[in-house]
Amino acid sequence: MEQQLEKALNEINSQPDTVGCLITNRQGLCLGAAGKINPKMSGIGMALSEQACKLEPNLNPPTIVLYSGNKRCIIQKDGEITGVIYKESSSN
Amino acid sequence: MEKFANQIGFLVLKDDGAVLESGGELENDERSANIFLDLINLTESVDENFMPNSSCERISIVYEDHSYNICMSNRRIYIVKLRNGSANSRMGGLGVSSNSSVYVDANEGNMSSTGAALLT
Amino acid sequence: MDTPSLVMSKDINSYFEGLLKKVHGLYIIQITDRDGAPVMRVSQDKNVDFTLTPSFISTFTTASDQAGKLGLGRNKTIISMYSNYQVVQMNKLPLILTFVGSENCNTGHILALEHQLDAYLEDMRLAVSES
Repeated sequence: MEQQLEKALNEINSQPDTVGCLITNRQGLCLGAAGKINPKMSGIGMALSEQACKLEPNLNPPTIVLYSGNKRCIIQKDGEITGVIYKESSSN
Repeated sequence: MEKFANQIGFLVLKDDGAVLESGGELENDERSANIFLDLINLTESVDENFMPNSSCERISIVYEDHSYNICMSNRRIYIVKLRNGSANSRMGGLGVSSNSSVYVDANEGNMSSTGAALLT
Repeated sequence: MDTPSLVMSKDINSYFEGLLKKVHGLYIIQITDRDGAPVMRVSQDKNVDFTLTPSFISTFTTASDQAGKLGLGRNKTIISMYSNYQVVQMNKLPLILTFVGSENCNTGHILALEHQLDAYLEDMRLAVSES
């Protein structure tokens, strides 16, 4: 049933610099995760994307990027689901 | 506050949320200021194994044609609203901001756009 | 002796009020012992007093005990969805944590609070187990 989802997650996770990724539903419950990412992050990821959507509720949901040193956390909401990707660039 | 070529608004907040300076489209925009503050509070609960507490030094919120870039420094919160450059379609705001801010990272723009492309 | 614990309880209270604001759609955080005797409670001004009825907590304790017999180990959390509410209850014996929120409240966020809370609960746990 969730094979498609897992395939997509593994595909995302095989991109350069990607550490982990997950997908969450509207309730902030994790639908699937791949790589080194804590599934508990789904609730906070959802909360962050919801908060950012309040800025301009009439526009499409924005992409949120958190930066910390050479690490990045990218969050994007699309309808009912929200995706979270952890990235760590090796350049530093 | 020094102006970037594509800047269309800015806010400077104290860490308790009081607006110190503002201008452009964000002039006296207390509503957005509160949203930004809540957003920053939320980032403190982000996974400690990946980003240790309060080490998140910059946040970008990127829309199709503009972006908000939030920087935390010296107990102040700096927010600039940038219009995306026409050359860089989606993540233009990011590319420009990283060139003009203190965090210069040559391939940052590219990496973020791969992330965004994957998610959309 | 009194003063530090007083400072502490004020601290804990404001911490929980902060949490309540942080999670969108959350109405109540309530900490009780396993019989439902209240230890602490913070709430928005929404009328959700049903969490105070004596049977509410003891029903959870019973349900949690029963769920522990399913052979999957000790039960930690029960999430109950209703048409207007959701209730998340955590078994942290001797304490029971109860979160009540709207039906579309961010469940994942409430669950993620769990590990942050542990440090704050330690003192309360001591106080309850001593009494």
